[in-house]
Amino acid sequence: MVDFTSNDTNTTTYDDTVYAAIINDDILDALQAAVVTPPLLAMFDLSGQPSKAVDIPIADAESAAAVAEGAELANTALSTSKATLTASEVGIMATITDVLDVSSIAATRGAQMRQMGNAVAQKIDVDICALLAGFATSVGSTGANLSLANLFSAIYTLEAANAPGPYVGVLHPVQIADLRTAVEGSSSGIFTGGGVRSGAGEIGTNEDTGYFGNFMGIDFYQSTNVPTANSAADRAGGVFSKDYALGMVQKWPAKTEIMRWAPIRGFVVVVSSMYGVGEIVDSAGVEITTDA
Amino acid sequence: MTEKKTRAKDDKGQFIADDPSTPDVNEAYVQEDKDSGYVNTKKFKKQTLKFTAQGKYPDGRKVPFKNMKTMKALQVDPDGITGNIVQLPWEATVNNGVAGDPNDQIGLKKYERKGFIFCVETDGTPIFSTLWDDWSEYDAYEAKKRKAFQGEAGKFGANATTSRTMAGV
Repeated sequence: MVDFTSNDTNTTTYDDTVYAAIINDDILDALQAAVVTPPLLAMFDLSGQPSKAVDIPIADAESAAAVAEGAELANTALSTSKATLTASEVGIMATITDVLDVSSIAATRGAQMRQMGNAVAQKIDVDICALLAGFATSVGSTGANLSLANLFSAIYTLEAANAPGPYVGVLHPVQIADLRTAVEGSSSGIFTGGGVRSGAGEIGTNEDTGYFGNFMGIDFYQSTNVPTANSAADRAGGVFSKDYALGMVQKWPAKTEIMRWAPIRGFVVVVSSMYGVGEIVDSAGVEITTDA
Repeated sequence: MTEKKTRAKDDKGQFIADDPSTPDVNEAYVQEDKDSGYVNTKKFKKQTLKFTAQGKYPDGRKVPFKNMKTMKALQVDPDGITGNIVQLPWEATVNNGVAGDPNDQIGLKKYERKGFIFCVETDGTPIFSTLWDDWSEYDAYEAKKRKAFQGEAGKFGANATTSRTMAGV
């Protein structure tokens, strides 16, 4: 009997004819949070303006009083306060050698640009999410899952402060998961009626854009850029007045520039943006800190 | 680094599946004690500050590096210190309305006015790491980490004419 198993010709013996691996034509983007927050802020465009900062005047509330017939009214000095948003630069630079550029698959250049563009976009989102912990009013308890009562308390706080609608929420996915569970577990008629869909698997099917859904009239977004609190035991999200509580000033949006740099036989790619984000009206936002 | 998790097994030695009704808990794996990831504690303003390992969440996952400086602070409400500690942005870019004030280029004064108490030593040294989402103790590690990501000042940066050198125009 011939031994067919000995000395067979395989990819090990004939290895000079086999690629170690075929590289896919496309490059997958890194898994990153969807950038959801910039459209929720009041935007101030400073492009072409001779300043790095914008002042937003805020009229103070004044009160009128009853006056007796024939009595002279006393003057009230009307006053204002202001919030200042200052822009500064954010950027990322990469020097890419000619050797890599001419020796890699066609999709490499595009992937590099996306990597750098995403880095700047993430930075903006992280900066904005960090503002949520700066609201002076906070609801939720450390170590306790987000509850419907927490949300209602946040909404009431905003309404009691006369914060203008519409309200929007930015929460961490674990807080959104708590919200789903809370809705599913609620026996209240409102959650089983037609207005709000219930069930852990039903709410928020468009997660790839970071949009969770509308709940109690509030558009909720989820992002892993929502920061931790209490030694990473919690997450600090928030609910606030859209286009009012937080603001963003921009000198230039993310732009990509490429410079040829012959001494290194390569090219330098710079992606930069000049912007600033900040709080305009503190009482128009509420922090929601709940278990991570 | 890949975190190793242990699959949970029942009495017969068979793997346990995840329960979809508890989205925040994966029953398929052995549940780690949430407090097991803290390596040290410290008393500050009668509050217990818990520190994680450097660059790690309490559950052992690695903290993704975000090039942003933060300051950890105690929250205060009318009843006193709430016990909540949050991380606040500490950069000129994220200004909270006061970065335009030359006396407060890093934008922390407004937080003080709101009542936040920064977790700092008496000489102003931060108690927590100032890295984003990093709740470890402040030390030279983060200076090294930050430098590694920021890199050296480039050749083109030396003596550049900026809005700072050419003020008043």
